[in-house]
Amino acid sequence: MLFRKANPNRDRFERQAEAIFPAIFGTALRLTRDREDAEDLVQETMIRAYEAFDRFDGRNFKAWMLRILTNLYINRYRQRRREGPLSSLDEEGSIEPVSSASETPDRLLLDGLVSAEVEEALGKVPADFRLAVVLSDVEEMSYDEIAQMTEVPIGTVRSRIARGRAILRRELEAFARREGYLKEANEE
Amino acid sequence: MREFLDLHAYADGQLAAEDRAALEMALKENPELRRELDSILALKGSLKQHCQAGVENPELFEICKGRIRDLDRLNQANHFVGKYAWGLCGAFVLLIAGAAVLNRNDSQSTLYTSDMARLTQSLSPVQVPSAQADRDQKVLSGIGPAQLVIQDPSVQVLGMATGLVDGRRAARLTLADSGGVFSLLMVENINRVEMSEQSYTDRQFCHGKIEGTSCVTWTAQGFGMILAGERSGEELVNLAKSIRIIR
Repeated sequence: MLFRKANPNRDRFERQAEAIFPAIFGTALRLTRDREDAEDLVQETMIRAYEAFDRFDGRNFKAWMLRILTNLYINRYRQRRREGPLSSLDEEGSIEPVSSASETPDRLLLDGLVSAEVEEALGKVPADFRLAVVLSDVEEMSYDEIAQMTEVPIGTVRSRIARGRAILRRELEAFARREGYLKEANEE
Repeated sequence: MREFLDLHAYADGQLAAEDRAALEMALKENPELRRELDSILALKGSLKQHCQAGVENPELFEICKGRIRDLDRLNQANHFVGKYAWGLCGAFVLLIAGAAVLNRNDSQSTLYTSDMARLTQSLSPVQVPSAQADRDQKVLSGIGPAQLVIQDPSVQVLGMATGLVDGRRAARLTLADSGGVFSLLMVENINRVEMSEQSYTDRQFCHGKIEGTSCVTWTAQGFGMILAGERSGEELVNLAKSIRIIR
């Protein structure tokens, strides 16, 4: 009897978590690129969030959960995988345009792609840039929220999003060329 | 470069109002910028379309719920122990103290046949009180508030000694019948009699030997009773059955 008392705090947490759980798991998958790692990350996130639930300000539960998730990912998973700093991609370097130098029309490139191909190309974007792009374009977080979650200045967030999108576009284009989509389209 | 960054912020709806007006002006005048914005918006649209925001995994959610419940149980147990630690320690100490007192009382209220010689030494002979005798029994007073009833009329009381044994009233009676002399030791406030050389026991009587002499022990009305004599166990048990205590 002692341990079977109803726990309204836990029930409230579980209700809120259930509503945004697919988004949390989806983001974890896109960050880790590995289902097992994503499941571990989500479990750890849920436990940390529940432990800190009494300190949640009640405003944006999804943003708060994603912040815990990204913090855990940055602090633990990246260190474990020894991804290290993005030495080959200087954050202060020039920003490339997203539009193609070969003037490949967006319609020709993007219309022929399926979800798995986009997900695969996204997985090739370096982790910090991918995180910023996912939080912005998939989770529709504001720059402010992304800056808080990833603990970097807003300027860095803007730069990472722009560079992440440019890299993603290049990966998609390379993929489309390999698979023959673009060639076929250009021949048309 | 600044314009490119502003374009991304504009596409994301994150550009400040004053910068937005300037960028919109530049977009009207610069088709290359317009093309870049269209590419950004197309890419954003493609990501939104292909990367569904959520991935369902109800099994994982159940696992998480289970872990949260385990954590809750652990926290509640820790909280309970933390809150009531002094009480639990106190109860434990009381339990140990209570057990010690009970154990002490139990050992104090046990009569050991191996102690018989020491017990009888401290008793002083007294005159045998006059017994109320009838055809069937003798009733002997003078043992504190108790009366000794011997339901065998053939038994004679030859002598008596009384005194205190370990703070308890005790009496030793020398008795005789047609089979010879035997003795009865009775000590008050005893609830168990321990026999060192035990050969037979039932629910009431225990037969054995004290230094080679046959004896029977039992308890009655809070008295520990030892009946000893050169008799068989069965005879002593029959004699013991004829002895009662009345308070």
